[in-house]
Amino acid sequence: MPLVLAIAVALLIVGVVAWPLLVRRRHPAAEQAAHDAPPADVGSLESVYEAIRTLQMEHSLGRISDADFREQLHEYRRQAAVILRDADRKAGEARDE
Amino acid sequence: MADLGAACLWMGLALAAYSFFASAAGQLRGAPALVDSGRKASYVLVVALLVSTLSLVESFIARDFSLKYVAEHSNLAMPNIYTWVAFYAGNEGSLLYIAFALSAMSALAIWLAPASTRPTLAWTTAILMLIEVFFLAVMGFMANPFAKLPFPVPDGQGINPLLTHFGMFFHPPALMAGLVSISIPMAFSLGSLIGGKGGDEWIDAGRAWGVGIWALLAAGLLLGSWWAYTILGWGGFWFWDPVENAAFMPWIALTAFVHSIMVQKRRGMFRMWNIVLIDVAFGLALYGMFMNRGGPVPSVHSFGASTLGWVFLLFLAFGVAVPLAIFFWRYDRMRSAQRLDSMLSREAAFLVNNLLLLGIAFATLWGTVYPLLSRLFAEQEITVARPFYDQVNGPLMLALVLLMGVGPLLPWRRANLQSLQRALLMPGSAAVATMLLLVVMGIRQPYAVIGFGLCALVSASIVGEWVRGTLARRRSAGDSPVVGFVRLIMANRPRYGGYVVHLAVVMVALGVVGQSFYGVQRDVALMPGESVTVGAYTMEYVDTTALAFVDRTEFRTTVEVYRDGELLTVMHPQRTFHPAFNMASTRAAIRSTPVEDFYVVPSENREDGAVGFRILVNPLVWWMWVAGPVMIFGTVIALWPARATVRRPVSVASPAAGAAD
Amino acid sequence: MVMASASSVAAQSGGAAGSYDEAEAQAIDRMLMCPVCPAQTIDQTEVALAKQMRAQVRELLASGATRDEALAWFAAPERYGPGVLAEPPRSGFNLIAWIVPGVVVVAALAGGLLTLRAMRRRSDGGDSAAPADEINELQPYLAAVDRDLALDTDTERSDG
Repeated sequence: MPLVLAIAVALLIVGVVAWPLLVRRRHPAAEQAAHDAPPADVGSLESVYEAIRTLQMEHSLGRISDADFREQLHEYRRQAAVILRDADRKAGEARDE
Repeated sequence: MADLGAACLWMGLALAAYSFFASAAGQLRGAPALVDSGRKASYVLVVALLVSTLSLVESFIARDFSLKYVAEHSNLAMPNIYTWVAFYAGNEGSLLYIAFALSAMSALAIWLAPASTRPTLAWTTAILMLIEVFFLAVMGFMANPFAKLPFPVPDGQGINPLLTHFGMFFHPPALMAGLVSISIPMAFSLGSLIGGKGGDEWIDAGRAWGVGIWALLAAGLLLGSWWAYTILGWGGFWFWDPVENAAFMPWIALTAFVHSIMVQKRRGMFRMWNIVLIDVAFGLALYGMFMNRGGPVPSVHSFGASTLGWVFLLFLAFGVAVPLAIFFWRYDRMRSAQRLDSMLSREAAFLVNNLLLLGIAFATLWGTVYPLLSRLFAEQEITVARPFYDQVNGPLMLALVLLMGVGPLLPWRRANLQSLQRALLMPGSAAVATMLLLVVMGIRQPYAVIGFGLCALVSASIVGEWVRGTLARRRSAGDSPVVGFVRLIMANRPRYGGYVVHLAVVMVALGVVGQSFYGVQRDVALMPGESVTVGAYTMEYVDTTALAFVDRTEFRTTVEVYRDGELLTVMHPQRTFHPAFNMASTRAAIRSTPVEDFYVVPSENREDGAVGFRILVNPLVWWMWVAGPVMIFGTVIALWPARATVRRPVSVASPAAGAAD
Repeated sequence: MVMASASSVAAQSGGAAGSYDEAEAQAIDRMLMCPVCPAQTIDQTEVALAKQMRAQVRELLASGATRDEALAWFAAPERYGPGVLAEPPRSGFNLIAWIVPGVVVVAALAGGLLTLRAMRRRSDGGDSAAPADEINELQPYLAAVDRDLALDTDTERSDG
């Protein structure tokens, strides 16, 4: 009984490990896409929006002076706009190709 | 079935080694199929080690005394439920447990890896599998749990009686799994560095695993303290034992990491620092495993004294040197993107928090290695124990609690001094009022007064933050208080989950300060019918029944506890003698209330019928154990994934782009 | 109920004549290592030697010794040696044990704050105003950002 089970485990292992090597990838493009670095969360639109929300909350609690608030809000809005513009440009280039 | 387990262990070693080579080679040569195969090997490794684990469990349940490990850690009299504990009562089983836990968590980490880490995931896999190879090779060649005795014995030696306690069902596995899985955030950061990224790609995975492991270790440490409190029978819960320290130090380093990672996540700063922190935590975890598996320092935890020490020492050296070398190799790729706006900011507060935490870790490490230094350079045998750590770490911890009260009031980037003063007014007055009240009540011990005052500061500042935030939401969105409060917390989970954890830390601090400075201890021997008064309590010793079992004699004692002349409770502390181990284990009886614990443990049973008791009245210890669930709750909030509220950038901008054309 | 008197307590825990402060004795217990136990002080264990040492502590106190004198008695080379003390002596070479943690923490804090100051100085320079045409180009995207953030609070309000 242990022998049978050991053989079963061994077959499972060899099968799972060898499968990717034996079967040709149907979607090499998908594999390649995984290699192109997707954007990290930091510096993404979402994280800039998060920063703006945090800033608004801290301002509403009175932790940040009005001048600092305006300056930082302006800066974050610009960052977000630049991210949107760059994404747009990239999409435009993709369309043109 | 033991043969099946042994076979699966060897297959596991082969698999881990294959996965390491396939991942590394596949990545180097750009062969995605090979990388894919390596990743899948790390998944099936879990299956192999699961089968191995189950077959050792089966050998325990069948009491297969042809196995050396089973014969050494169980016997026929042991109830099956303790198989769970016997499994990791010695080195061999612990290693199997560690290898299995690491494989399961690694597979989960690789499977759930966020998209940003995928380009370097093969390196992460390779690092984790290299660590697996180490544990599996040590088991295979030096400490095989499936090793056989030359001939089977009729009955085993039995389980160490200190381990037969409920706390033992979770404390060791939580700590072992927590320590070894610090590898996971480390592997994400190191993988990303080797792959030449060195930026922010790894931090979401690093933070999620870091926070989860932090909570696991914290729960393990608390349960260990609870175990010590109820079973070691001296009435305390923490005594800076070398092995306690070994688990405490990486946890402290991880605490620094989970704070500082937020600075990188929110502001893109501290990139190098975070990598340093996670490597320090990993190095300290390896040091902890070295201490636990045959380290040179005596400890109550030396359950599996062995010759494995030098192998773990080598592994420790390797585990510190390699990340360090890679760090310097990739040094130039890790420049931080953002700059600091002001010294009075949350970023700066986090850095001070980090340095204080590392200071505690360093002082603790210094204490554990100092006896060695003194032996080498002064040829003196010096001991470093409880009083040293209390005196050195005490002030640092108080400073941290102070920072816990002020830090949350600081905004990112630049604080406004006036508004900070305004925000501090309420918590500050709460702290001063608390201290004055305590002094009036007759509490004069400076540490205790400051400690409780700081606890008030932290609690008031957290509650103040919640109230202000809820009010602000009411103003801006018209939410009702309850809805506003819930929405406030959900809107910034890492921050408000962290505050809940801070409250749990305050609870632990209450217990520690209360017990350290105002615990009352009384050692007394009583004949049946005699009684003794400790604090407001009077305890009468009623009787003891001795119950003989095959492997032990239990002395079950009955005592009655009175307060103000009224019977409060009847308690049954217990003392058990185990001839096979020539040792007695005790089980304290504790009447716990939020105000104080009445704690009694029998320390000896004399020939003449008298029983020696240790009786303690420990204030506020109750809060320590309640802190556990609160802390877990806070961690869950902090880790709860935020729902994506933002649409894809391109679709958002498209109409605008059309308008611009 | 028969009350066990204070003197009988003292008798059971040491057999010393004279009076002493039990709290002080317990404090001393926590500062002496049990020589035959792994990393435990004598208040933590019921080993015979630890019991004997506890009795000895009470005897010394009852005969008028101070805390330091009692500790020095145990740490004498002809008895248990300095290793019996639970903390390194604060003199000679062993001062290092006490000084190093403090020095390291202060140095780390100083170093950290200096680094922060340097990071701050570096940031005083940059951040020049964006050119006017970039501002114009960004205008529609800024509007999208404002819409997004407003929209975001709207969804939050509607799904509660």
